[in-house]
Order: sequence, then structure tokens, then C-alpha cells
Amino acid sequence: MNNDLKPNLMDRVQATDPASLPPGIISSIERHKARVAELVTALRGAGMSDDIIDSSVRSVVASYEQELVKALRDLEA
Amino acid sequence: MLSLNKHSDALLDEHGRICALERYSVLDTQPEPGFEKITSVIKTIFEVPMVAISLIDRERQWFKSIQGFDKSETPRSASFCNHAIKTRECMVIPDASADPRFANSPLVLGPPFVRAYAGAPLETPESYNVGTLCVFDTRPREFNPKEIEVLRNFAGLVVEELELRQAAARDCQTNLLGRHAFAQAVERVLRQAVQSAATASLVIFDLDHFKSVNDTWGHPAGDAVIKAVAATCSEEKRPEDILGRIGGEEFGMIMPNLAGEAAIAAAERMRRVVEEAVAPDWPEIRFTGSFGVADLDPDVANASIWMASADAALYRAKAGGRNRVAT
Repeated sequence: MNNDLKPNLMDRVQATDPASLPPGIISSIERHKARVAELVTALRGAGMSDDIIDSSVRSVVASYEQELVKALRDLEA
Repeated sequence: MLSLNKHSDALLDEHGRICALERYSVLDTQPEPGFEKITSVIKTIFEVPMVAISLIDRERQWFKSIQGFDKSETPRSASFCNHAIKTRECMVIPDASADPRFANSPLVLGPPFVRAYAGAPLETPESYNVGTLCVFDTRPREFNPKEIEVLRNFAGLVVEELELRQAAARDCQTNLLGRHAFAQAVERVLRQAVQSAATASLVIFDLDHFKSVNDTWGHPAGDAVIKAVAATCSEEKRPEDILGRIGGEEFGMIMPNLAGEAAIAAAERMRRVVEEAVAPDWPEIRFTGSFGVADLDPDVANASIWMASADAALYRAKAGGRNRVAT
């Protein structure tokens, strides 16, 4: 995960009035969290090393985070 | 049972599938680091030379991200993924040269010389398979169920990213496209219609005397009316029509492959359902809308001109007495 972005991103999500967010965003964040947990389980089940699991989680979280930042910027615009 | 039927029907509904794909507005966009990272990490996990996020368009498969193959698209007819989207399960081909469906495929006989394939459908929340997340190998190999589960999980995460973009483009009150996303959709439909010499119409409509609803009944009532109009029009429109909220009480609807009298008739149906709509908890409030329709004529050079043309028609509907359709 991009540590430079994380605090800023979380601040912005938490500071945003949920009523001003499109309803799909909050549910998307929840679904993504659940899917990442499932991915970790699947990677462990497939016998992947901790390094592979770490880099996989980092990749999917960073990718989603970029989308989320862009989404919040678009909402603010 | 209804949801089960819808789930399986979506596999046969090619028109709905294409509409679902187009809603993502992702075709022919630039490569993006997020998706590149995902395919890169999958390449490492599966130890394969090729990985792709493949989207199945009408006549082609187009790669949002691809590792190990230097093409952005191939004909749909040659695509492994075109078969994979026809099932809910992951499709696994251990040896393509031994499979009569693929043995003579140009992708098997020539570059990139595919021998083994595994593809997990990219399934939207409406159960449409818009493409796959897939891995290829140049030698025969098996993919065990645990590997397939990993691929399936990554596919779900790819869909979730595409869904996030959709969610962000939505108006928070009505869940319709917001103004910016609607304007982008107008541009996209215009471009596609010009490329394929197809027709299209644009409708801009707004609620008559909406200010008096807010003034008389208060803003919660006004909000309920806006939501009722959005819900009613969403039910009335065709699946391929694109509806947006472009202002407070102003809406837009793009109608691909529809023009002239048929477009006016569609707008008239919409006018009627708005007139008959009831806001929950506020059945005493009556409201109507005025509608402006503009076909995509040859003299429409860009999206701004098209929207201005529909807006001018809306003005004529207002000037003509409201609660009517004008061109």
C-alpha cells in the first residue's frame, strides 16, 4: 500500500459526509475489503509464500486505492 | 428462483452484455498502472509467459492489460476468452492443440503459440460476463482447483475496480450518471454513432415549476420527487439508453440507434410516466416534465452542439406550454 497516500485517503473518506457519496462507493469499499480477504485465503490455500501474498495484496490494494483517490477527486471537483 | 433465472439468462443476453461492457467506458482507454500491477503479479504467481485482462467487444477481444503479447486486440472469432464468457465457471484448456475448438486457432498455430489457457470470467453485478482475466502458457499444463480459485479471486477484484469507477460517476441522490459522466457518455455515443453510421437521439428534460414543489412542500418533498422521477425513468428506458441527472431538476437521456418519430415516441412515453409518477410518502404532489429531443444530425459536430440542440428543443417545449415533447 502507498503509505504516502493512506492517511490522506482515509482522512478524506472519513471526513466525507456519507450522504454526499454515491451509494455505490461505500458498498464497493466493503466488497473490496472482503474480496482481498478471500484472495489471501485462496493464495494461502494454493501454497503461496508470504512474500507472494504480500506483493499480491499490495498490488490489488494500491490499484484500488488509486481508483478511490481519483473517485474522491472527481467528487470534489 | 427469479435471481437464478436472471443469472443464467444473462449468459444468453449478448445485447445486455455489450451494454454492460459499454457502461464501464473502458474500451480503447490507455494502459493503467493499477491493472498492469495486477497482471504482473499474476504472471509471477502462475509462472506463465502471458496474462491478460480481456474484454469481449462485439467483434473483437480488447486487452485492458496484457503481459507477454504485443497486441492490444485480436478478432473475437480467434479468442479463447469468447468461449470462457459463456460459462459461470473458469475455463481451463490444458492443451489447446488437442482441443478441436482451438487446435486450428491462429493464436495456437502462430504467435503467441498458445498451448494452455485458464480464464476466469469478469462477471458484473448484473451477472454479465464482459470479459476474462486469463493466463496463457506456450506448453501444455494443468491448472489445479486452488490455482483456479486464486484466478477467480483476482477476477473479482478487477471487476470491483471497474465498479468503483461506475459508482463514482453516479449522482448520490438518484444513482443516475452525474453531469460529468453523462457528458462523457454523450461524447462516446456520438463518436460510436459516427464511426458506425448509426442513428442516435438525445433527450434533455426538466420538471415543470419544480421550485414551487420545494417552496410549497419543502426540500424533503422535492428530493422525493427527484428520486421518483429517476426511478420511474430508469424503469421505462431501454437497457441501452443512458440516463443522467445533469442539474437540480434536469435530466438527460441518450438513446442509441433511435431517431425521428421513434425517438419522439420514446420521449413521449417518458413524459407520460413522469406525469403519472408518485413520490413515496408524498402522493398528493403532482408534477410534470418538459422534454426536448435532438437527433444526431450530420451537422452535429460535437457533444456540446448536440446538447445545445436538445436544450433548445427543451426551451421550445417550455415556451409551448410545458408538459410536452418538442424537437
